[in-house]
Amino acid sequence: MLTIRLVEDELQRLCLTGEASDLHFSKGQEAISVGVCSELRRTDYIVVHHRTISPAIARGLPMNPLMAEILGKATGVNKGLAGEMHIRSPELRFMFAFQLVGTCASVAAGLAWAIKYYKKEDDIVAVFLGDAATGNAQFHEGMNLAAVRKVPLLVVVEDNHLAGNIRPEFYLPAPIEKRFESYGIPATKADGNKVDKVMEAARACIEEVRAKGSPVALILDTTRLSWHKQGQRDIRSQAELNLLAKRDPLLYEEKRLGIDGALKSKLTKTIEKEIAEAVEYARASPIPKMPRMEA
Amino acid sequence: MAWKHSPVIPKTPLSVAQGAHQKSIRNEIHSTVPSPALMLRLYRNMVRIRAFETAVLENARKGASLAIHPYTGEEAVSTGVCSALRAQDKVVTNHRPFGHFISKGGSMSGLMAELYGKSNGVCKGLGGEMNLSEPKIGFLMSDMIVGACITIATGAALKEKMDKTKNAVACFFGEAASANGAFHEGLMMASLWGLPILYVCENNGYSTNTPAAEFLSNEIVAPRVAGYGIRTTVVDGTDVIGVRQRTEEALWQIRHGGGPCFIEAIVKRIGPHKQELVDSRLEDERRLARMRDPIKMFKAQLMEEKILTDALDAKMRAEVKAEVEESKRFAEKGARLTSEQAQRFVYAG
Repeated sequence: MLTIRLVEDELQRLCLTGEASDLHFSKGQEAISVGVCSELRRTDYIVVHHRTISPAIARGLPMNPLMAEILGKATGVNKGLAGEMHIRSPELRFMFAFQLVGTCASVAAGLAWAIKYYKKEDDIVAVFLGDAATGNAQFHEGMNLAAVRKVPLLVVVEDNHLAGNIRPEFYLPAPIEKRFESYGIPATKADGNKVDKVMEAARACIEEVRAKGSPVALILDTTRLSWHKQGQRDIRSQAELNLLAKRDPLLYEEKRLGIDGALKSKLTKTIEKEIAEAVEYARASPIPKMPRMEA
Repeated sequence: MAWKHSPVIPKTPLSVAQGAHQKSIRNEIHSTVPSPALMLRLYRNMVRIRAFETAVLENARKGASLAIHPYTGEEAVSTGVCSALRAQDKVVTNHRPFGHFISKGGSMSGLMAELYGKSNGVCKGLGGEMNLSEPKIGFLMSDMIVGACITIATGAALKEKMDKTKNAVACFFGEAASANGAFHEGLMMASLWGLPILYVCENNGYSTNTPAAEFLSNEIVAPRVAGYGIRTTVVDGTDVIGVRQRTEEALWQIRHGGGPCFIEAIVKRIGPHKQELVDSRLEDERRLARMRDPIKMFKAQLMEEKILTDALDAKMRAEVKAEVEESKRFAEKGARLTSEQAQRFVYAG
């Protein structure tokens, strides 16, 4: 979690200098990717939304290629052509990232279907999406078929109570768990800012998905501490942000593990060194050659 | 099943939705008891739809017009719903529009000419069965793309709300449309903005030849709609009086600013999905559908109550038959648009 936070801080600085394009950060939502990914098997599949940096690091994508990818260099995970929002690494079963809100749900349902009925493995698919994605038609079609076909799909809803800069009363007519109920998908709620609670809930859900081979939803209440996207205004007041900052998942984790200042600064230094190396690596890498379309 | 009232009342600060959910919704019965005269009108309307369709099916077999999606067995739904609507209310429907068109007060001759592709049809012979429109009677359109009518009807309801009229929009679709994303987005927006719209789902249990269990996680649609915070009810779609009463209750809520309602009418399709298509249902199931024929059942009830007599029934059917024959003559009289004339109605560059 600390790694994610520090990487994102560094990237934010790079955004300001213009080296990276404007990114979507997950500040405040790290506990979800870390908690859920730590409970998944290495062979389970992941499909994510447009906030890719946090799940990518939680899944264990190596730092150097990841940084090079985000900075658009040829040594990146996807040769610098995917950028932040299309990162994929099939070797790590980090299958797809979608910048179109909600699209990941139907793709993940299809992936899970293929795994169950064609590959006949007991691996599952975990799909990460935001609360706003539940208003999308793709979500509806995906969930409907996932429930009918009984596919092994774990739907992780990162409920940050915002769609860009829009409040839920404009896009959610009813609570999300009610929506899942209506498809016949059981839904669990947990605090998404406490990594131990996330892990506990995720463990139970993953076991259920694997045992029954049918979809389960995990709704995690969380806070977005940064902007929706670098460079965008935030409708929330400073007072509200200060209030939300008290729920920072890192603060909770430090308290839980009893990490004191000395240990934290030591850890920070190690990670920052790693990040600095990755940035240097990315800077030294060449810009990708545009591949020619060939018939 | 009685009306299910969602406890979730969203606050919508959009100006168009001001006050949408503020009024309390009383659990009173807001339907009227139908008089014998009204019952006869309902019966007559159902007979008209059936007679019209029988004639069209016959025509299509002879090659005079194209194959259609027959409404046979579902007449009670459109009759019940449209009889409760006011003339200025709007209807948007799916690929099976004849019942809705006739029930809303459309002219049988105009419709028949439309199916013949003649210029005296309601859309000058250019729309056909699946792109029908007659704004004069509030029949906005039929849309052949499954589910697409839902978002279009929602937009029409938004207009009524912004114009501050007291009109409602009724949207007809099948249960298969509820697996479509347009259903999800349409219902969500209607619920958020508290739009004056009545969704009528004609659940005939099949999407063409695919049973509902293959594409719906629960075979009826109503539980899913509750997830949007919309009031729902399930009704026997072969019972025309029941459908009418539920519609009146729903319209009461809609006209008093209570937001959208959803009626699911369980019906049996007697014919195939489309004329000339294979019907893969078992013979037993088709027999069951015939036994649930709404016209036969309603006729038996009327006979028993002595509202309808054999003589009256024969007279009514003779009148309807004359009306259908007249519509055929009208259609045959018309001419097709020439290609130059037709191009006047093409808007694409």
